Amino acid sequence: MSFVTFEFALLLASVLTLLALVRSTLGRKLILLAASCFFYAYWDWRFLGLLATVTVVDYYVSKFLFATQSARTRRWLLVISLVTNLGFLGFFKYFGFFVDSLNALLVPLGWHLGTLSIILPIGISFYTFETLSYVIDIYRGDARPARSMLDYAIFITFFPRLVAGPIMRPHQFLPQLEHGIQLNWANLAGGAQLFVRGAFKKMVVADNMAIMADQVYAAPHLFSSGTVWLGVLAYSIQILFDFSGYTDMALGVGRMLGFHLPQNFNMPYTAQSITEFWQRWHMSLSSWLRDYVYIAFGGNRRGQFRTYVNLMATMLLGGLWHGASWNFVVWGGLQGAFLALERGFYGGRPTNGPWKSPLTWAKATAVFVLVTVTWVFFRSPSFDATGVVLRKLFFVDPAGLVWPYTWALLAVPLVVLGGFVTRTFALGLPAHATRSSYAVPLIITEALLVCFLSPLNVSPFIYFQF
Amino acid sequence: MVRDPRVFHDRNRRIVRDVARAGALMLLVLAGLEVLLRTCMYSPGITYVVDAELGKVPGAGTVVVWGTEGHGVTHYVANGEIATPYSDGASVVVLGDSHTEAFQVDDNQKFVSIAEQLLRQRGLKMDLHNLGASGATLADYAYIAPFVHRRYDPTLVVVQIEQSDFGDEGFDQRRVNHFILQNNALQLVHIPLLDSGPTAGRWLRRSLALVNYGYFRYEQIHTRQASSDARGEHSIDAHSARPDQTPGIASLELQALRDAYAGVPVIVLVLPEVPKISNHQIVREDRDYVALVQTVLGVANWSVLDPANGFRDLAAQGRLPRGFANTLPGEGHLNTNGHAVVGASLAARIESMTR
Repeated sequence: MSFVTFEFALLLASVLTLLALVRSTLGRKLILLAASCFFYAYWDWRFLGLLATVTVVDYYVSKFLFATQSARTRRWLLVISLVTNLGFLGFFKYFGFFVDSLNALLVPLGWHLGTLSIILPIGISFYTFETLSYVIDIYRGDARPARSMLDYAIFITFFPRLVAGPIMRPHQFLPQLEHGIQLNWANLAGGAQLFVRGAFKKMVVADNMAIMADQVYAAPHLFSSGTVWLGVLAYSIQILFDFSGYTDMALGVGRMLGFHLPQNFNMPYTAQSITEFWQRWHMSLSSWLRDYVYIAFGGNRRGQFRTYVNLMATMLLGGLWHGASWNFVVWGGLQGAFLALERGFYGGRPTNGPWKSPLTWAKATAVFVLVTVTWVFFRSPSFDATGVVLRKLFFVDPAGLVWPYTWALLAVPLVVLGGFVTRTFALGLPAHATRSSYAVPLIITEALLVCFLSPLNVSPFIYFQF
Repeated sequence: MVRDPRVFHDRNRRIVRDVARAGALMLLVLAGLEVLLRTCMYSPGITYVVDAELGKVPGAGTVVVWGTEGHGVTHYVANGEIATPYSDGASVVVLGDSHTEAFQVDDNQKFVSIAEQLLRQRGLKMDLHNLGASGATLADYAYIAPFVHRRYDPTLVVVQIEQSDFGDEGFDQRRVNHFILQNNALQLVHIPLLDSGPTAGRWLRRSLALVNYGYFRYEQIHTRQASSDARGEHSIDAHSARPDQTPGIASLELQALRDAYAGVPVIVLVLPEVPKISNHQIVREDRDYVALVQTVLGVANWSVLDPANGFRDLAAQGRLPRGFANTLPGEGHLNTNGHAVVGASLAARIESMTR
C-alpha cells in the first residue's frame, strides 16, 4: 500500500479515529500493531510470517542477552540473531544474484546451477537493519530490551517507516512508545503539513523528473549528449525528491500518530565533499553503516591504510544493501573510493569552506556533478546501458534526439542553486511559518499544486525496491 | 472561578486575526496561481456557441492558452475558425481534427498558417480558413459540407485525416454527427444540438482558469479510468461486429466525404504516426499508414498529401514531428517541426494544383 493511494488515506483515517476513540495504552498499541500488519499484508500477506519470525527470535534473543552475564552465551545469542536476520536477507535478496553470478563463471565450463525465482519481501533491508541494531545495541550494553513483545513488534512493524525507513534505533523509538501515544491537534496539523510537502516533492517534482529519466535511461543511444546530460541530472533530482518526499510523508504520518521520526536528508546536493554528502544523504543508513560496519571493522583506529580499506568495504556493503546487482557494487565502490581519496587529501582537516566564497560554490558544484555521474551506475538497467550513458556524457555526441524537457530545465537549477543560496544566506522558514494562519494556506497551496502539476501516472517509490 | 473577560476577548481577537490572515494569504496565493495559469498553462473555459450549421464551436473572439502539451495561444476570428495571417485571396478551407486546430502551437506556427505564408511568398494570394476542431470525425466533415460551400465558396478543400479517424468515434451514436452502417451503406445522422444555457459550473469555468483547469484534470483522471475499464471490456468483446472493424468501412466513410465535396478539388492530408519511439527504437515505417494512403487513393481521384518522407528527414536530423519540450518525444500532437514540414508540403501541393 503506497502512501499516495486512496486505500492508505482510508487506513490512516481509520487508525486515527480508532486511536482517538480508544483511551487505554494497550488498546492503542494493539491498534497500531494491527494497522501495521494490515499495511504490510496488503502487499503480500505471506511475508508477515517472516516478519513475525524475526520479531520473535530477536525479542527473545535480546531478552536472554540482557539477562545473562556469560560472555560465551552472549556471543552465541548474538550469532543466532545475526544468522537469522542476515540469513533471511541473504536468501531473499542475494541468493538469485549469487547464483546468477556463479552461473556466469560456470557456464563457459559447461555447468549451470539452474535458477530460482525469489520474491523480495518489501522492506526487508530496512527492518533487518533495525533488528540488527536492536540486538547489537543490547549486546554492546548500549540499550535495554523493549518492555514487552508488543512494544518490540510495534518498533519493527511501525507502518509509516516499515518499507523504506528512516532506519530507527531502539533508543529513538521505544522511549516514545513507552511514554504513550500522544494524539493532539498540534501533531495532527504538523504531520499533515509534512505529509503534503512530501506528496508535493514526490508527485510533482520526482514524478515529473521520472518522465525524462525513464526515457533517457531506457534508450540512451537515441538521445544527443546534451539530452542525456539533462536526463542524468533529472534522475539526480528525482531520486532526492522521491526518497526525501517519501521520508517527509513517513515523518508526517508518524507525527500525526504522535511519534517523532528522525530526518533522513539535509540538503545533500549542497555538500562540499563526498564525506559531507554522506552526512546529509539517507542519514539513517549512513549513520547505521558508520556505527555497525565501519566502526566494527576498526574505523580509523588502525592506521591510514586500514581506514581506506574500511571506508571502501563499508561503502561496498552499502552499495550491495541497495540491491543485488554489480551496478550497485560499482556504485558503492566508487563512493568508497571517493571517501578514501578525500580522507587522504584532507587528512583530519575540515572539508567545508565558508559559503560566501566562490570556491565553495565551485566545490559544491563539482561534488553535485560527481554524485550525479555516479548515480548512472545506480540507475542504469544494465552495464551495457551504463556504458552508453557514460559515452554520451563524456564523448560529446550531437547525433540523436534533442529533448529539452521543460520540467528538468526548471528543476535542476532551482534545486541546486536554490540549495546553494539557502546555505550562503542561511535562509530558513521564519518561526511563525508553522502557525496555523500561515500553515493552512501553505498546505492548501501545496495540495492544489499536487492536484494540478503531478503527472497522472505516479511512479513507484524508488526505495521500495530495496 | 471567574474568567477574566480580557483574556477571553484577547483570545477571540487572536483567532479572528489568524483566520483573516490565513484567508488573505490564501486569496493572494490563489490570485497568483490564477495569473500563472492564464499566462502559462490554461485559459478559462472556451466560450462555445451553438452554430446552426457547424454545431458547437468556439465563438468568434475566443482566445485559448494551452500549456499542458507544448505551449500555444490560439485566436478565433469567426465561429469555429482559427486566425491565419491573411484574410484575402482565393478561398481554401482546411478541415481537420486537433492536429489542424493545433492548440499546442501559436497561430502563426500552425501548418495552415505556414502554408498560407509560403504561398504568399511565392506570389499566390490564397486565403486559408482553418476549421480544425478537436475530436472532429469524417461524419462532421461530411455534415458541414453544404455550409462550407455556402459560406466560404472554396476553390479547394483540404481534409486532414489520420489512422485514428477510422476508429469507432465516427459511429458513436451520442455524437452530434455520426454514421450508421445499414445494408453495407453508410447513413449520416445529425442530432440537432440545443444550447443548454449557462450553469453556475460553466460560468465559473469560463471566469476562472483555476476552476477550468481543475475540471480538466478531473476529466483527465476520469477518462483515464474509463479507458482502462473499457480496455477490459473491449478485450472481451474483441470479436463482435463493431462498425470500425468491418472490412471496407474506411472506403465507405471516404466515399461519403467524396460525395459531400463532389464539386470541388480536394487534397487529403494523411498524417502518419511515425517516426515515433517504440521499444527503445525510432520506428520510421508503418504498414497501416501505407495501407490507409492506398485506401484513400483508391476511393476518389483526390490529391493525397503524404508528409512521411519529410518526417523521416526530420528524424534523421534528431528531431521528431510529434512531442514537445513538456511531453514525451514522438508522442501526441504535431510540434513546430511537424507543422513546418506539413505546412511546406501543403503549400507545395496547393501551388502545383493551382498554377
